[in-house]
Amino acid sequence: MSNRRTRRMGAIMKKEALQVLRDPSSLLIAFALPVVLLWLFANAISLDVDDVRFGVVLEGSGQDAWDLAAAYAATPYFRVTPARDRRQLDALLGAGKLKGYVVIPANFDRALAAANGAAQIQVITDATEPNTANFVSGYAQGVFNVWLAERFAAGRIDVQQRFWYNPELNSRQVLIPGGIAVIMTMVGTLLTALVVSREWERGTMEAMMSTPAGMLELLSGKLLPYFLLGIVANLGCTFLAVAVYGVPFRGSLAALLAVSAVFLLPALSLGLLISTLTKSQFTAAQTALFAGFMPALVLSGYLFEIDAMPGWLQALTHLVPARHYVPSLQSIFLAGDLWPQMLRDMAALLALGALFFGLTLRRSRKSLD
Amino acid sequence: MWCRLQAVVIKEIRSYWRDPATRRFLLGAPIFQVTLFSLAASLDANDVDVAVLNQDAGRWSHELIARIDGASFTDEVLPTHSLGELNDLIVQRRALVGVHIGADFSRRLSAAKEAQVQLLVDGRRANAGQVTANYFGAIAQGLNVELAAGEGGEAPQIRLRHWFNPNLNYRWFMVVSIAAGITMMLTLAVTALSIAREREMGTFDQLLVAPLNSAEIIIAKSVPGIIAGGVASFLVGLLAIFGFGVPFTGDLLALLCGTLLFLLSVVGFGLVISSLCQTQQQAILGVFFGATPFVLTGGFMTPVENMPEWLQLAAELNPFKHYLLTVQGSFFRAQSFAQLWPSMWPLALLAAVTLLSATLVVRRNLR
Repeated sequence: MSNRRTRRMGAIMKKEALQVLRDPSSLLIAFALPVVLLWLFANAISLDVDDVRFGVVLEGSGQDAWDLAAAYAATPYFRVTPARDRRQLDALLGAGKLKGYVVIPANFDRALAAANGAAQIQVITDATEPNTANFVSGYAQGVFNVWLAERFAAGRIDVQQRFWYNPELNSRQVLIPGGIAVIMTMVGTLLTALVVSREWERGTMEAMMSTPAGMLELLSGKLLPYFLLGIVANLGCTFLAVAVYGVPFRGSLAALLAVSAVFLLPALSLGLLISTLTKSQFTAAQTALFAGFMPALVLSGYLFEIDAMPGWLQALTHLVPARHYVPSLQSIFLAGDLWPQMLRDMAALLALGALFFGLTLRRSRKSLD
Repeated sequence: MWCRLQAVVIKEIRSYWRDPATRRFLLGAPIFQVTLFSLAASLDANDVDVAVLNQDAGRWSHELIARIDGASFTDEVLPTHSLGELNDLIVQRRALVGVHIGADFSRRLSAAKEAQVQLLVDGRRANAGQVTANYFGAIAQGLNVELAAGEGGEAPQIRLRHWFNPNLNYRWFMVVSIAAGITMMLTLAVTALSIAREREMGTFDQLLVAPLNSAEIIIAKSVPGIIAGGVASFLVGLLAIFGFGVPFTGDLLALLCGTLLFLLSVVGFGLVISSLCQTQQQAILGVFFGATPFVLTGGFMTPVENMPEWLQLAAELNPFKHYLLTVQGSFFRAQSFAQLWPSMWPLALLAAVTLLSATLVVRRNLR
């Protein structure tokens, strides 16, 4: 009996493998997609702010005011546009041509010299992108305070930042490992959702169901070739990340393979579930984009911090497989194998995989009635 | 001609509207997604856990820690007793940052010297780490200003004003950008599958033998995408203004005009993809290969200015990038039609080029 079952599963796997190999679009998803996406993640997504266009309005002409303006011009973060009147810069700021400007008022020198007169400067930012506004105001304040401390020869707190695992603060090194999780979600979920929904749409799924193979054999036989494809895509991504984009790899290959293999279970099962629920390629593709790609991009903590989300949404992120994959990937690439954390993540991934696969199994049984 | 066009347009609309699942999807999905993802996507850092190692017993270190504890971005301050303990909390992701204050901190400050604070940041969390480091800078600078002013003196000040979004509400930017992005993906998917689906089902040949010319086929195929995108934009626009309280300061007519141009250009891209694909699966892949670069280089996840020069140049071909500028200009910057024109004409040009190319591909099929 079990011998016959193995033979049946073998036959299904062989059929799926042949289907993958003969279908150029499957291979395109598994191999071209990761390369293109990784390239985009490496170049288009960057948190490294420099050369921000910034204005300096110098209303007076005292020595201190000149000094401060020169301090702003000397910052590597700013590309400075000088002006004598703030109205010149208002139009530029409104048109998005400047991210902010500082106004050093005409009475700056006098106010600074007066014992109790509070000198004031003003910083205006374009807060259309709040994140950029935050960085700009932060830098602008920093420049002013360093200048003040030197001017008054006062004691000064110097915050020495050290970014662990990423000392040059190159956001690419962090974002690429996270990006691999997004790519793997796409390969796993989109691929299975598309391929299996096409079988439903064309009616070949019904034909498969009428064979002696049970639902469990059928579904797991379907998943296995895509599982192998996912692993190959994963290794390809890792190779590109390290060899082409210079991301360090401080963990072990065994840990990477273990976590990735466990991650593929919920990712593939989700694709299977989507195709079983929708049964049409159009809705399956849309759902895979919105239930697979977008959550992996937004809810996985790869770019947007999970701690900053509302509580109920933080709870919801636990249903996103990529959320349990991103921290392990980041650690394996940048820090090394952190087994306590990885085992926790792997347990969560296994649970999610069981959930999605179980739901698929139930839905498929029903549809046979 | 109008009669023919009308008939085929009605056929196109019905092919989408008839299926209840598709109908629900077209109406419900944009609202649901915009709500969910805008709530999730924030580049701010909140509820940060901070590990502290304080080897100084003086007044300034206490003041510094009190300010860190009181800051709005901190959740918990975890005191530690050794560097090893501090490091461990960061490695295990218990704390995002560690603050190390040396033994001579207060002494040096009182002697008008520079005193150092070590800020150890978990570099694996790139954005939150940078934002938090920035907040720490602001705290230290607040103290520095007081130090510079001396005992009892009035400190020089920076008056900070954030234009267009005075309270730096991150959600405003995200809602508007995600709404535009979701609209784009929906429109692109609806259009890109249309010709490919007919090819796969064999009904495209019927369309070709019908008394229609290639321009009429393209117009008819554009309509469902424009309607789907238009309805989605309208719904998510209402959601942004009334649900999320995003202010609308600009010219509504200009925004409508920009939206129409954007939808036309997206439909154009969709039809080019569709006319080149033989099966739906290829079309879906085409959508994915098209939409992902649009989303990633559009300036919604990270600013366009952070990208390399050559990629910024390539992003000029991205309708999403131009549309985001249009939407931001209309919602936040109160820009008029004339001020929005620099991002509108590229959309018009992209629409013209893509729609024309799609027509040419279909015409080749007709011959």
